[in-house]
Amino acid sequence: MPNKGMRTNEDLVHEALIIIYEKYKDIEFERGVLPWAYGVLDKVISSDYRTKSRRENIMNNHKNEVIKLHNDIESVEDNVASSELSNEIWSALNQLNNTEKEIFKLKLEDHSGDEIQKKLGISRSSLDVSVFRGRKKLKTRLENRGVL
Amino acid sequence: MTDQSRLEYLISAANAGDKAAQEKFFEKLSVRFSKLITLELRKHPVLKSGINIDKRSHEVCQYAIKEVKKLCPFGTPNFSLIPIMNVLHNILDTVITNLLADLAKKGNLEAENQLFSILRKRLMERITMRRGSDAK
Repeated sequence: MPNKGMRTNEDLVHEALIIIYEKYKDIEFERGVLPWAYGVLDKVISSDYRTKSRRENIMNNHKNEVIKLHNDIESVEDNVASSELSNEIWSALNQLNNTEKEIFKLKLEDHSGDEIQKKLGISRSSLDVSVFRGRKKLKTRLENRGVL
Repeated sequence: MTDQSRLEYLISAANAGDKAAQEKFFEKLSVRFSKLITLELRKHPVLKSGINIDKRSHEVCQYAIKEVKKLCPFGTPNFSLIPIMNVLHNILDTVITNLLADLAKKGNLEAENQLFSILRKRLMERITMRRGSDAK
């Protein structure tokens, strides 16, 4: 069976015969009607090859565009997911008391324990207790939200 | 000896350079061509009204012999029965389609039908030869 979408020999001969029928009465044949008809058919065949080649190029280009679009969508989905996660974390952080909140904000800004202790004016043991409690609260909150 | 084997014998003798065989071959070929051309022209009744078939057969035969001498020279692989008959059939197709086209241009619908029937057949043969069959 012919390939799907590919024009059959019958189709091409039919197209050539239509052209021949439309033109033969106006043409003075140098070498006869048959050689001229063969020429018409050859042009129809060449045109079919060109059309097929163009169609394949369009399909290839279209395929590349679809792949690019798919990648773009995945990238957008990743961004959305990371933005949702970020919202959840910030929302959990807001549930902490002021000292715990400040400690975690400074930790996120990459400050060391000593720096945080000096900035907030608290003892080392208070800092450790606040970090422990804050982590526990965050963990519970994020587990309840299904993030962890 | 049949007509066919007689022709084949003359071909091999003519290819070997036998002048008498060469003359005899074209004499026989001319008779055979004339009969074939007349038969083929008579297959298209519409041509009877437009031309003198016997006269046209003679003209086509002379032209075909001239073409055979040109396209199938002695001593070459083309000088054998199949290429020679191919030359004749190509000439016959051209002559018949030209005659039908002339009549069709003058408004003869029967000639037009016969012309397109022949053209369709020949174009299908050509496209199958060039692209192969669809059933591949």
